[in-house]
Amino acid sequence: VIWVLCEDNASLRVTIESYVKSQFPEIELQAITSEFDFMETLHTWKDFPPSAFIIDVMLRWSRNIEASPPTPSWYGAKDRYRAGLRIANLLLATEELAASNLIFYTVKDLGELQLEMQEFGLHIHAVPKHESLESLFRSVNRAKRTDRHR
Amino acid sequence: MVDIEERLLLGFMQISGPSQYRKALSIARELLGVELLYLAEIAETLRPVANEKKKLSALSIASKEGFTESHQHHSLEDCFAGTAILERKEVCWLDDGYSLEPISLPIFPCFSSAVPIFLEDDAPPAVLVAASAHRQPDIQNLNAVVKSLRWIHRRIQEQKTLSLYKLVSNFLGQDEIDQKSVARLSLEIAKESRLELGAIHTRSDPDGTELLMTEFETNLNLDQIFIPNIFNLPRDSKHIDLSLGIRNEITASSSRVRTLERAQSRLNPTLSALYLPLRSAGKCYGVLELAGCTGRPFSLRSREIVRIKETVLPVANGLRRLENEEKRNKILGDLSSNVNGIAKANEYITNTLLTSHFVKDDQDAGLGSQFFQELLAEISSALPTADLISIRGPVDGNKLAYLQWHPKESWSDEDSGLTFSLDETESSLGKLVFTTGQSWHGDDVDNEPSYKGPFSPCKSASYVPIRAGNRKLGVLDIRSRSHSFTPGDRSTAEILGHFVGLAAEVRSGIRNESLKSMVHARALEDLNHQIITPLVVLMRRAELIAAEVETPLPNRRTNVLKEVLVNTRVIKAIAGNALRVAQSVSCYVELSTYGKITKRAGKVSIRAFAHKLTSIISDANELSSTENKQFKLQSSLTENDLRMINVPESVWEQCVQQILDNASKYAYEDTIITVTIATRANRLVIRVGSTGIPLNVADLDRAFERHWRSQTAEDRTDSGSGIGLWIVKGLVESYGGSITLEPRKNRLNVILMFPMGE
Repeated sequence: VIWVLCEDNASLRVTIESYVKSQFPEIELQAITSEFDFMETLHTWKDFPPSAFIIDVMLRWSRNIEASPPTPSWYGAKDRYRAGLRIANLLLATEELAASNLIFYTVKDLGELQLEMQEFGLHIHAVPKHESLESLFRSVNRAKRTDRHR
Repeated sequence: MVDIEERLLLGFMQISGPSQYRKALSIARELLGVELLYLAEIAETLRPVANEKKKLSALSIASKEGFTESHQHHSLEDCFAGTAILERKEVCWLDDGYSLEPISLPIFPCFSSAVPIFLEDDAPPAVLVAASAHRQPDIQNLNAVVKSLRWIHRRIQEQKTLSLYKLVSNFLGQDEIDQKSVARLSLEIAKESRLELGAIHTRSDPDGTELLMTEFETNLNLDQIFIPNIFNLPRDSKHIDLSLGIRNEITASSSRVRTLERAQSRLNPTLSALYLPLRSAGKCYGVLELAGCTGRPFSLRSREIVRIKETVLPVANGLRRLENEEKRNKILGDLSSNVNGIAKANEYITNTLLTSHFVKDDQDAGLGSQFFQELLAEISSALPTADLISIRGPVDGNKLAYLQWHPKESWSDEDSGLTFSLDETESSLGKLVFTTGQSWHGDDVDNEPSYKGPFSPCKSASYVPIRAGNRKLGVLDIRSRSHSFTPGDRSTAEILGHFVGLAAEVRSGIRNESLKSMVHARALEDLNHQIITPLVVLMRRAELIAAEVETPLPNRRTNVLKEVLVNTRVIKAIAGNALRVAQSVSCYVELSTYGKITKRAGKVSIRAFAHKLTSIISDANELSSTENKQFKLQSSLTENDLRMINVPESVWEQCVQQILDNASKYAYEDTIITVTIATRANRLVIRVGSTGIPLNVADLDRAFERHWRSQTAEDRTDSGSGIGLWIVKGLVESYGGSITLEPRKNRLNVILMFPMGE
């Protein structure tokens, strides 16, 4: 079972990975650390669609390596704050991936993103990044249960 | 006093989303330590009532106990006298926000204080009432709240303007404009303006009414919906004389406009109504009617209405293309190539104005600034037939001169001596009147007066007024050497003129603090993110430790201890990092407010410094190991050196941690970051060098500016607010030290120097 984690903060990524690994050893968690990496990897999932995507809404454009591509012309200063929503749109536009579970978490006010998230359909969970990862982990558990029922 | 203002503003900066006034009042109430804070406006009853006191209606209430908003009015005099209180029967207990039960808390009678408040200079008067069961609310503190509420009010108004502006921009950028999209736009405008509309309607019902009604009722929950159909008004309708009016006044003269009677019969009772003329080039193409059955009455002085009116103007330009099917198709065809240009100009203004241009604090705030030069270059693509597009503004009395111009080809700038009459130019709409008394029509090339200018001869010219609110800023002058401008070009020019005016207005707004505050708010949001993320990880690690320790498996003791040790190290490193970010917040506030950081006494020995630095680097390695970045320490300090570093430990630690954090953030993955420490004369020198995101020599000074981050850094790092170096500079300089940057090929060295003494 493949899940994808879109998170650019290394500490947080390791923490979430270790939780998923301990609770659901059968899940192979693939980490994506930038929006560009996501777009590059998207086509590889078509044959073996991941069951779920855990997405931090605020995501950097590319990894910090010398060969990183520059941002595209449409990319503005505030776009980093909404990368997760664009990722979800790409998933929905890809037939093989449109039914995947989406779990959003963010430090931003969920109320601001609520309307846009509703458009993504019923198979999404959106949780705030509070002082603990409790709510995120609950959503992971819920998504895993839903996945079993499919 | 200063303290409460600062705390209020800091609290208000965090506010976003709906119910912002209510949230602001809640914060203020908490800080004031009162049970109830109540913002009330004088109700503008449209029906004149003789011998009746002016009434107050509640705008927002914040209270400790969850009072419901009351529709009961209180007299202004009583509020000023401090005797206006909510009666017991109105006070309800809000149980989980759903059920209402009578409250039994002895909250009233109470002490109450009130101060007058004008949210805007031309806004209706209101009062701010604070009530407490325990003590008299402090009037000075209430005045501080008033000041802060005005600030957040301005911010909300700016947000509204931009939202409306975006709506219209999107509307005009659509491939096809039809009645449905106009109806949707009108409702969106109403929704954005939070006018609590009861209905939006015009004169007749087009096809498909039922469908739209259902859709809009679901979305907006209005009392009554009518579909705008503003194209069917006869051109000579006397609606144009009505302009902006209120319902009662208009119905009094309903004989002039028969259709109003019908409108009235369909919308009863009506609390308030507004009629906004849709004009273009001096002609009226219809009236947008906004009528409310619920909520509070519209205020003629309300800035909201003015903003709607301004927003409706360009809509009128778009609608003009629809009045005649054949003409519409022709004009739309003509404009098809322009649509992309307009959309591009929209995008430029909405996206760019809010970011880099607003942050750039150039001295020239007028229409002649570099910003407007760039704007002209950008919007010129919306008018492909124009060879020259320029902004003219008054420089001497009401005369016009070129402030900025953008040619498609190279023109020589020899025209600065020419001046034009602003009023004539503005009203003539295409007719240019020289101050010499000679007149010339743009299409009349043969009779063009002779003058030496950079764009003579030209075949066609168009002049569009640029306004910011009611102020005349100048004109947009558009010329073509070889083409005659079409009506479509004229429409586009009007839209662009509107954009330039709006851009000027919004731009001047930032100088009056509000949008600067948005930048501050964003920085605080980033800092918030930087604090929350490590705390989240920290909590999780602590939970893991607890779980490991509680696992009753004696034979796994060694492994458990190893896990505990690893997690504890990570926790220590993360906590140190979070502490530094938290310290940055207080430095940020201090530097922003006073421009410097208060120096505190304190020294540290070389030995203690070296010992602590080793520990800091060990922590940094712990955190950066996940990205395969490694810190290496090279030291030439000797234990025999008995000098002291003249900086408190917490200060140098904060500076060094910030520099190491930057290095870790901006260094490429899989690289080594070197930290070298040495002494030079009476200075301790710390040099941190890494290979990573390059810094251009041209950006060396900007790197120490508050909120500045290079675009590459924004794109490739997961966090950052552009204040780290600014804070470190403020800190080290207040202790007589220094910080410099040395960009080398593929490498950046950051050098910190602290003073040393005996």
